[in-house]
Amino acid sequence: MSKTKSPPPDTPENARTRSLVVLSFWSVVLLLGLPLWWFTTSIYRAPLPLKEMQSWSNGRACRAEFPLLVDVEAPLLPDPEHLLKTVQHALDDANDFSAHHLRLRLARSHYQSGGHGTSQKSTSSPSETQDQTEEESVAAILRLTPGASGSTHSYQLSNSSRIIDLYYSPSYNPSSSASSTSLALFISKTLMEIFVEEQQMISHLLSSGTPTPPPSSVPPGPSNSSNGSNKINTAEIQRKMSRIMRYSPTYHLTFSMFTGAATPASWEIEQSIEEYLQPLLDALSGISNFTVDSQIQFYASPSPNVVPFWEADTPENLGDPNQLSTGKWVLKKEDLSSFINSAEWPLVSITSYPTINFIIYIPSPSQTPLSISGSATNAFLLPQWGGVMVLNPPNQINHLTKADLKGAMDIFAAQLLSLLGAPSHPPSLPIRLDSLARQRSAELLTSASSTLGSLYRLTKALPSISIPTSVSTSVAATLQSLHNACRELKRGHFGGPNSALEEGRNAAAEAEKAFFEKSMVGQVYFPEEHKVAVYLPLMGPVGVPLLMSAVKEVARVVAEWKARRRA
Amino acid sequence: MKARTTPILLLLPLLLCCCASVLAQHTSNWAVLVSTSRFWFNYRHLANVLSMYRTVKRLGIPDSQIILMLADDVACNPRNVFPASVFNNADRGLDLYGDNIEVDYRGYEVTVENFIRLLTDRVEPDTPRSKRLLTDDRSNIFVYMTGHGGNEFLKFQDAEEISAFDIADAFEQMWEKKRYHQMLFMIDTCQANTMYSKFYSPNILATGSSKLDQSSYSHHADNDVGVAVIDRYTYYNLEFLENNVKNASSKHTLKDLFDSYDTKKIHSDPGVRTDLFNRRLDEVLITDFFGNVQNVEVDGKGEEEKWKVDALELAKLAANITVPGRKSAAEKAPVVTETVVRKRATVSRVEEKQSWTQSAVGVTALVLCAAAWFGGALVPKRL
Repeated sequence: MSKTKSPPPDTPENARTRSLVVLSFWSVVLLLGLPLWWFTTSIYRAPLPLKEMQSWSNGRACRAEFPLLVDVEAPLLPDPEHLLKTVQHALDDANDFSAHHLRLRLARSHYQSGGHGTSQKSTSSPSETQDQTEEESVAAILRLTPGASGSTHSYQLSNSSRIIDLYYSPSYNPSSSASSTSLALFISKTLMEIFVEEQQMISHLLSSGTPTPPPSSVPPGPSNSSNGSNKINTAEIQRKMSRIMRYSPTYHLTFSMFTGAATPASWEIEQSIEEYLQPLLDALSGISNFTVDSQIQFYASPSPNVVPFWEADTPENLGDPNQLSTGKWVLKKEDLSSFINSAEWPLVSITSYPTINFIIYIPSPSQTPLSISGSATNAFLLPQWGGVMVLNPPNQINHLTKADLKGAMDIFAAQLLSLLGAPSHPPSLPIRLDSLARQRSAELLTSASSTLGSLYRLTKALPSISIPTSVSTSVAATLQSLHNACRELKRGHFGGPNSALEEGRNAAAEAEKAFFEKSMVGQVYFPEEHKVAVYLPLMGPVGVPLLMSAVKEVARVVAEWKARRRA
Repeated sequence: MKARTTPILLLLPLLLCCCASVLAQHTSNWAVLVSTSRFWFNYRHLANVLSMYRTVKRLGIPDSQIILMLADDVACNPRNVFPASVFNNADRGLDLYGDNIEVDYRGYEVTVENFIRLLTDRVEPDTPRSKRLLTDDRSNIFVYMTGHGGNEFLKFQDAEEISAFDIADAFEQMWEKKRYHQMLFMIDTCQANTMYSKFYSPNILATGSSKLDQSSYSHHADNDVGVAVIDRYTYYNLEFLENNVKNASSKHTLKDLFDSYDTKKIHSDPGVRTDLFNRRLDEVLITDFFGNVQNVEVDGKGEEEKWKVDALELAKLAANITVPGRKSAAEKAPVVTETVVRKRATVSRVEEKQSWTQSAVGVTALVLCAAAWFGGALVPKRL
């Protein structure tokens, strides 16, 4: 090490100035730079009630209950209370899905109502006034009357009311225990039979919705038949579930007529809908609203690969459609799945809510009559989509009247009910619609809860996603509505204003809003090496001199201090 | 006795079959087709996507259920000697641009952000239906992407890139919100197989054109067009689909398609990822993803009353229904539907932030780097 010319020694003044400079740089970095960096790069995450969200998605927050109240009117029965108790016991014993249970109540009205001779109006009005005061809807009214002499127990459910007329055998003797048990059993069996389909659906909905699906899980499999329903029912329920349109507060119905030729050129669709369907849509409006439109397309053909084949009635004309033979064109079942010509049929809707399509297809004269193999109604249903009916009007008819369309409307009405999920079983329309309201409430409840669960898992899984305040507001609103819905369910208040259905609707809407908040786009994934690559060019030139000078300063101070101590 | 039990025994497998088919049911098919590159020399990517578009449309997916994202700057490019046409073969037998294509995201709308918004449906409230993926848990989705990519990323129009992690997270969000039943992800780009390596959501089947460090090559060029017109991987996929899957009732499975891949022809190693997909490939029809086969329910003989009601009678019944708490239909008519009352409540619970640990890791990494630099600068001085 040769002696080189060294710079003049540092004056203490210089050293102090340098220390101050270093200190000031560091204070700027620490007091200004670091907080600034922190605030500009941190992601705003609004606080969410995570525990509550999780408990809803687990189904722990609310045990959904569907208590169905059945009013019993037994004006001529000597000891109805005892019988009721027995029936209630039988019902409770036989019920293996406790969330959905029937509760019997002796109707107060039967004391003043004049027994079995009264008209439907007069019996239903007192129960309605009761509703007003108690806010509890009656699922069904069971009216017990003695049947004709010598008959056994039987029941009758009219399709226009909630009244179940049960005729017990006149040989019924309340004092004999065997006789009263048999009647009790019969009553409980009847009630279960009426509500079994609804119960299965609700149990399926609740069981498929509540448990958090682990990422590896299969979509609802046949394993969730834990509620005692046998395999056949599970398959049937699955089929039904796959058919039902997802709940929406509004649906759009499109009635289309696709005709293979230029005729018929007009149809009385407006009048038909007005007469045949509108009352039904009005009755359904407590659950969902509907908008309706219709269209005609001429020279329409199904998908090009759907080719019907000719089936002659008589063997001698086989395979010769040009002759004046009797027979029909037949569509195979495999063809139906691609029957809809989505490339050419204008079935796209511009509404923001789901569309249910109903199509009347009229084949061209050269392919008339066209029938669907194996179908009695010449129609088919496309799950979650709509219904199609092939109509064969007399040749060259130019105008389809209301009467011509009646058959199609019969089918569309049934298809509509089944697409919306109304149970097919009890013939009584009011009971079916009530059931539908309850099913939809269950669906909304589970869907809102599972959305909350999804949001919960999302916020956990993607820590780099920002959560704006609007999400936490929506989540709070969802929780509030869910809470209300749960309470209304327990109170048995299913339809109408402020009911479980409406609260469920609010909850589902708010939950969707929270989940689909548009600023929560997870496009902010930066691998760690990216972060280093971003920061290093900045931190290198700035950080190294800073650190070096700081270390030098500290070393100098330490050296000075040591020197002073030695001295 | 025996005679009575046998029908039940015969029924049993039938029932099980029924369950299986129920499981595999989907009610709608959607396709998301993305070409992420722009400019004339990327002609082939546009042709790739348009060929796929044509195929899924041919097999019955309606335009309303196809989301087509492409720069769309080729058909009317001044360099195109066949204005308003796009061909995927030098024989120019088929004009892909044709008479009827609906591009949903065009030009500069093809961005990473829009793509992720589309998948997760976090869109502006006024977004038209045609730009949204309105799927549910019964929808099968076919996602096809092509463009220029690299290890775990895919470039979008030379401006930005999407990483494999972003797509995986987007798919996970879709799964969380039950936005798909099953998904087929197909990608034709360089190092394509790295793009699906990060997926972790169930029921996704993924396939790509080339593995890590492999390019995906074009098939051939058209001398009059002046550029390559299609990529190899897409070409051979299309070849199989055109030759074997003639219509939506085809019974070919995805296994047939994947088995048809020939490394010698494609010039790269196409990959298939099946670990997230819990169905056997030889049971999955190609039309489960490429076509739109709707399940149908037809009434059998004698089931008439199940599918047919007397509409007039039903209407009469419905007209005098009185739902508790609701006026009858006739009275109700003039009542304006109430607007939904939104209730607001304040949030009380505060949850701790989780990002602390991550920040700490990042800071340590940086400090270490700086220390290394600093140390490196210091060492020679001492000597």
